[in-house]
Amino acid sequence: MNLKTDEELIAQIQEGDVLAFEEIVQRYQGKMLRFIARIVRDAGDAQDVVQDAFVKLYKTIDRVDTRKKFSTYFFQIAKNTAFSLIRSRKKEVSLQAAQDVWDDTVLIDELEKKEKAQHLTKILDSLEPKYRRVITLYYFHQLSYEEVSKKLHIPVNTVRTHLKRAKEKLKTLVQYENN
Amino acid sequence: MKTIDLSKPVMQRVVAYEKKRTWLWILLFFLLLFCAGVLAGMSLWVATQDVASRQTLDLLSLFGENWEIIAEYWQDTASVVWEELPKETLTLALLGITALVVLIVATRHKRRIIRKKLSTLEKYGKNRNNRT
Repeated sequence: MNLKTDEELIAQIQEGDVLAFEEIVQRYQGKMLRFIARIVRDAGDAQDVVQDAFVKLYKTIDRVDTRKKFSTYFFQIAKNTAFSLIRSRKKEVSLQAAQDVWDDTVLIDELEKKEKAQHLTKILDSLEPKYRRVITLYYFHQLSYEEVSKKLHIPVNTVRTHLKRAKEKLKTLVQYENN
Repeated sequence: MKTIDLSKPVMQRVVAYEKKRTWLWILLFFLLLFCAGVLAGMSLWVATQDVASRQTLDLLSLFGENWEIIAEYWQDTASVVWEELPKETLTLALLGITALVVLIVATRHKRRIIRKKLSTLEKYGKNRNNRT
């Protein structure tokens, strides 16, 4: 059987015979899969890398010097493709780590907010009901003095006074809690 | 151990890439050819119109006269003809023609490769259709 050398096949491809590349693929895929599997340590990844390496080889086929040994050139392409994959995986891992840290931070923030809210509720509970109601309506429900006054059926000035006293009491309570 | 054949997916990717690249080359080639042709053609047409309107070439009828008259007036006639020629337009036409020639000659080898590629791509398409 008249078997062509790799270099002859490459020359044929360079002259426009695209289908001769299939012969190159069939000739090298086994060797290449074994070689790449040893680098990436995963059969699926090895297949992807080998496919990419073949496509890269085709894209640069015009630059292949047919006077030099072809297999060395191709193994170099495949090795570089495998290393690129490994590098991108490492980047993915570090991105995942960053995402985890971010998730943790968000979680801690949420917990802190929750804790602060619980603490505030506890302090508010210790206020007299008339002050607590004014504080709740003014700050949490964001009503105006007039609206609070209408809702609680008390004069606007009383709302102001209650709010002022409630704030003073809250301040004292918070200071007491902190000490 | 299961044997894996990557030739099909690899060839599909290679053929898709090659099709795109080949057609892009053809498109670019014809576009350049068209531009150079238009440049040459338009410039020649404008130059011809110019020369015809000035009746510059009528001066060359001197060379139909007898030898003594030609010997006396040929230099003056040639210099008038040279003066009246629309040089800018003719330069453009020359540029267009040169571009056409260069394009055709320089891409001779590449065009052969492209023809070969097109025929193998067609063969690949037919084989795939037969298999499916």
